[in-house]
This record gives sequence, C-alpha cells and structure tokens, in this order.
Amino acid sequence: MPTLPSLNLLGDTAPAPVLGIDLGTTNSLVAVWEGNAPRVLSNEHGIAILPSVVSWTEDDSVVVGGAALARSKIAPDKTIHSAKRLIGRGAEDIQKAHLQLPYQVEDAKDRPMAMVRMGNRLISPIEVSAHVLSAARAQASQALERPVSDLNTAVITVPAYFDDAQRHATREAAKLAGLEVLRMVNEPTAAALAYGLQRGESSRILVYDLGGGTFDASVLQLEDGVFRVLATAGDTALGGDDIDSALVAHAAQGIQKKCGLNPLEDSSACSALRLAAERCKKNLSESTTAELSFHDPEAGIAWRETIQRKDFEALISPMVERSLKYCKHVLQDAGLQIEDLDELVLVGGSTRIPFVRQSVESYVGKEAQAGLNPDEIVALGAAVQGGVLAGANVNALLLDVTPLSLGIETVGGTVSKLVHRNSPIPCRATEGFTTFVDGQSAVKFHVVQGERELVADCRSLGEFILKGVPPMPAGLPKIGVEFTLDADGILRVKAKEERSGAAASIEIKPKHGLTDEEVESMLKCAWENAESDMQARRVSDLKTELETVLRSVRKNISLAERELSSNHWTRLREAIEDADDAADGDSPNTLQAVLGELEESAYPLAELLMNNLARETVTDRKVEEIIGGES
Amino acid sequence: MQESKGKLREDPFSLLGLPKRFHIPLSDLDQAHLEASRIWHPDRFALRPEAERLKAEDHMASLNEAYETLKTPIARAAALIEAEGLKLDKGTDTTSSPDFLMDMMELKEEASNARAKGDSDTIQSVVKKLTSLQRQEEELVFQLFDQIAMEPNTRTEKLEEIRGHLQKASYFRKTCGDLLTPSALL
Repeated sequence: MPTLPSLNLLGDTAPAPVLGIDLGTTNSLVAVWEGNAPRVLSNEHGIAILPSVVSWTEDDSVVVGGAALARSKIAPDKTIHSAKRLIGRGAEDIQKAHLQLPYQVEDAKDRPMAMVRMGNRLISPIEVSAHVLSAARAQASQALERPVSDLNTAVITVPAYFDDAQRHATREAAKLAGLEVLRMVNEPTAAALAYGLQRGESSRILVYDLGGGTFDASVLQLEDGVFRVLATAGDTALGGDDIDSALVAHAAQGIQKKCGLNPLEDSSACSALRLAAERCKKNLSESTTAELSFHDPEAGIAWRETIQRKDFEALISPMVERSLKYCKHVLQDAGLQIEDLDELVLVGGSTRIPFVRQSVESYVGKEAQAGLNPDEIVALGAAVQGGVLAGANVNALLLDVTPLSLGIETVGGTVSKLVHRNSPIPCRATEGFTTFVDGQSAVKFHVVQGERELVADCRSLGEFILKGVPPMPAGLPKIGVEFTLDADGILRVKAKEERSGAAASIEIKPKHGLTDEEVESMLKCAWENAESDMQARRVSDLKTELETVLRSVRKNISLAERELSSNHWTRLREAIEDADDAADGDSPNTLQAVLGELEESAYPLAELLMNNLARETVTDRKVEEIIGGES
Repeated sequence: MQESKGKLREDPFSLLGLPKRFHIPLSDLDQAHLEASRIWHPDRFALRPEAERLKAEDHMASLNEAYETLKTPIARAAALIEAEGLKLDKGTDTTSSPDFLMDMMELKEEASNARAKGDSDTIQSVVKKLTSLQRQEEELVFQLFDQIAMEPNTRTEKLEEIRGHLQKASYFRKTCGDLLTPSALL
C-alpha cells in the first residue's frame, strides 16, 4: 500500500508529542507539553502515578504498575520493585550499598551486571525498567488517544548523580520499550525547569531531591529562560527506601525479641513488613503517632508498636544529615554561600516528611517553594524539555553539567582527570600521555569516573587498547587522548600517537550493561513472547487509527459529496460503512482490511484537500511535490 | 581530532566574542556564553538533520571549553598569550638559566628517590616547594597584567615577560603533577 498523504497533514491531528517520563525508583510518571504548559497524563482510572513495579504471573505474562504492586504481597518472589537501584550496577555494588531487597541479586553469567534471581532464571533490571517504560507509553497512548506507535520519542529523567553506566542502561531500557531517548535530563534540573518556567524571574535555586532511592542536590542559576546548572552532587544510594529499611530493621528487632523469629529471613514476610513500614512512614507525615504492625498467623507472629514521630525522626536523622552534607558540597562547588540562594525547591516523595522539610528549610534559612506537586514536578520538567526539543514555543534552555569527573588510569593506579565534575556539557578535553616501558607497542586506556585519586576508588567505565605504536624509548611517544561528552553526558574517547599516527577510538560501553546483541535478541524475544499482548495492542492501535481517519473523513464529508466523482464518492461511502461495522470487532485482520480500504478510498479526498490547501498557500507547487517532500 | 589539527582553532576570546583582555568581568563572560548557548546549544538543533546537529554539538563543546578556560585566571592568561600569537611551550622551560635548570634537576631527583623509598614526607615537601614556586610565577603574571591595564603602551614587552612566567609556572605545575600522577600509561 502506498504511503498516503496522511490526513494528519491537514492539521487535523497535532504532531506526536515527545513524552516526558520520570522513571522513578518507586513510582514513574509521564507528561507531555501541550499548548503552553506541561500536563501529567493519567490512566483510565484518573491515576497518574505508575508504581515502578513489575510482576510475572503464573502463565508468565507481565503485569506492571498498581496491579504488580498488589501482587507484591501474594507473589513476592515473582515481583520486582526498585529496579532503578540495580540498573547499571554489578552485584558487588549492590552488596556494598547494603540494600534490603526482598529478592536475590547476582551477577550475569559473563559480566558484572546485577540481575534478579527469579526461580531458575535471571532478570535484568534493564528489562524491568523497560516494562515500566512500556506501561508509561501505553498510559500516554490512552490518555492522548493516540496509537502507541505514534509515541516513540521521549525525554527521560535520571538522577543527576547517575554515572555513565547507569545512563547507558537507562537508554537501553528505553530502546527495549520502543522509545528513542531524545535527551536524558537530570531530575533536579527537570524540577527546576518546571518551577522556573512558572516564575520566570532571575534567581539562584537549590533543588533538594530526595526520591525513593537516590538523593541529588543541584544549584542552578535562572536568567531570562536559561537554566544554568552551577553544580550538582548526590548519592545514588540514599532515598526513601532507606527510610523504610530503617523502620523495617527496627520492627524486625522488635519481632525477634517478642516472637523469636526473624521476619527478614522470609521473603514474603519481608515484603509485607516493608509495605507496613511504608504505610507507617506515610502516616507519620500526617500525625504524630502511627501504628506499625505485622501479623503472620502461619508463622505465629503478631506484633504491633505505636511509633512516635520524634522516635521516627531520630531514626532517620543520620540520613537527613548526610543529605545536608551534600548540600554544603554543592554550594561550595558552585562558589556560593547559603545567603546567595533565592529559592529552595523540594522534590521527591520523601520531602513530604515534615522532619526532612524542616531540616532543609532551617539549613537554607528559607521556606521551600510550594505549588507544584513534588511527585509530579520531575515529569513536568521532562515534558517541558520535550517541548523544547519538539520545537514548541517554549522559552527555556537548559545548560547542564557532568556530575562526576572523568579520567584515565596512569602507571601506579592513579587517575589523571580530563573532565572535572560540574563542567558544562557537551564538552571536550584533551591531554597528552606517554609510555612507561621501552619499546612499548600497545597502550592500555582504562577510563574511569569518580572523584578519588586512585583507580580502585573510582568507577571503571571501560578499557581499550591502542596498538601499532612503533617501538620507542619510554617517555618518548606522544599520545593525545580526547574525551567528548555529549549533551546527555555520554562519553566517547579517542587516542592517537602523534609520531606514528596510530589511532583508536571507542564509545565507552559499560561492563554493567547489555551488549548490542542482547538488546537485539531481547527485542526479538519480546515480540515473540508477548504475541497476545502485541495482538491486543495492535487491535487497540488499529482502532485508534481507524477512528482518527474516520473523524477526518467525516469532517470533510460534505466536500467529498460535493466534489468527488460519483465512483470515488460511492467507494468512500461504502468504506465508511464497513469501517463503522468493523470498529467494534477485535480481529486485527478485519480492522487492517477496512482501514486499508478506507485510507485508499479517502485518497482522492485527501488529494482534493491538499490541492485546495496548496492553492491557498503555495500556489506554484504541485501536490506531488508536497507529498514527495513529506515522505 | 583530525578536524582540530586541520584548521586553526579559534581562540576562546573570539569564540565568545570577547575583547582580548585579561580583565574581563565574570558577568560579561557569563553573558557572552549565555548568548552563544542560545544559538548553538544542541537542543536548538533537535529537529535539524544529524550533520547539523553534530556540528552544533561540536561547536557548543568548543564554547564550553572556552568558557571554562576564561573562567580560570591563569588559564585565561595563557589563552591570551596564545591568542596574541605568542607560543607557549607548556611543560618545558627553554628560557631559564642553567643554574635554575640544575636546581630543578636536583629537586626532581630528590623526589624520585623519595618515591622509590616510599618516603611520603619528602615527596610532600618537594610538592610544596614546587607549588609555592608556581604560585610565585602566577602572582607575577597577575601583577604584570595589572601594570598593562595602567600603562597600555608597555603591553607588547610585558606580554613577552608574562609568557616567560607562564612557561615557568606551567613547568612547575607539570613537574608537580608528574610526581603525584605520572603521565605514563600501561
């Protein structure tokens, strides 16, 4: 079937928007730029928040969001939450972070990529995040009444402190979900974007972002629509999850004392306790006492305790202190004093805790900005950036920085830094190196990310080797190394020996991610496995498309009747009837057939409309040219 | 890398449209970078063909590099000298007296012996010495620029003097850097 001059050309439907997705540790949200403001998109029940939880049912189909969250109690061993804390990491990293996760984490067979053990198989956090992103995409499709296939570009937010490996992994997840990431925006920056756009005056903003699993602090300068990030700092292992964990640990102690059983040893008990802790935490934000209770009749456990808010505050105070220390660092890096700040913006569900809010406000000496929902603000900011990239009339420009220094290993395990943290991106840096041994013909480049002086304390991003260096005495070769960081903070490294011209270049592929082949095969697998899923989606896509075309045709029906030849008119009328009949059915083949016939029989009408349009606007161009120029 | 070799790289002052002066108010620098970013940031090219987008990204990287260079006084001084067509041979010192070079050799040897023995106190004291020498040279550079601001007609000869001090400063810095972080790769 030839590509038709889609009726959308006539302005019947707006161009597909860029999705702004906040892929959170606990919850995700999706928003779009609409007209002159961002809007959060809700599901059919009017709920915008999509829990970042994925569960596998008995027949191995995948459930995402609220339904998956509901299953975490009945099928904890088949349900994965907080995948964001694993993404782009190795099992060792996870162990070091002392996360209390109700599932077992181990490395993939052949590389240090953390995977979740589920019975006899391993599931990668990238796959889990991909399911969440797919669900967000589907939610947007429903809210916008557009086929899923229309929504294939996105701005996705990541914690500012995500390193190269974690960014790569997030990008892979998006690819698996069928989304091209136009830009990755740091979460605190996105929040500032949403806030700043509302206000529009020039100011210096501290964004304090305590999410489910990560903490970021950023200082931005807003001037005339330009958001310049001055500095950013944070911790990818500090968040609301840790607050829950503190409560869980407290409860576990009490339970052990009373019942002599450790609930943390049982995954379903652990899961239930976690939910109870989360509920208790939320209640403590509303009232000064809350009940934390746990019952497991099978194991003979019945335990409850009334938690006082002040005890809870003492429990989480070390975490809050840690976050304030980062605020101090970030101000130092930005070259500012606390008094220089004009505004404080709080982001993330954990900033709902009164103690957190009060501590930050008293540290900064200012009240936090109110107005936007802290759960939604990051997604709103992502949508703003989506609008910027889609060329919408948004007066905003984001100048972001790289959160971590980038360097190369030199002899003795030390790091030579090429790009320093808080450098504006995109950026480029070059540095000269030489050899250590006489006659050395190959040189190893070990690229690392982090602030420490020793390689062992930094994060390894990858290695590559420059070969073909002609034998020379040590110290004589001149090896130029160039780092380029793009606007997403993704790194490319090039090296060249100046005397011989030997050159090598690499885009850093982190060890903790998927290989290209794996992404390919997972994409294929997803297609094959989820055939019924696909069919349902296809039916819904076809229906949406059919409705869109029908609407456009009906809008111009009087013109068609008036100006089409009788053959064309009859064919179109019949096609409309057939389409109406088929619209309620569920057979993709029938839908496809009536849609094809409708589109084809509407072609003369489209041509007519195009010609009318062409006559009005571009008098000297033929319709063929316009169509040709579009396809 | 070929590209930067092939054509003459524009100096950071011209890139940002700023006068070739040492004394530039930070607000002017911020403003210039902001204006250039408005035009060249890759976000402005999201809908353009890939070739254009990459070109913008590359140019934005140069603008950011220029901005960072001009923000740091000593890097700004070096950039100015180079922009005036004077050559800076970073890390090597060709202007100094043999006596000075001998002193340096001794200092380096002291450091490398200390390193072999794992004597961190001596390394620290050599590093301290080098750092203070570097600071002295840098201070002279700043003073000379102040003098140029007062007596513009002495500019040409002062720039030549500044070049000498910059070269020494960068020589100290590099020697010190090599002590702490060797520039050799495995």
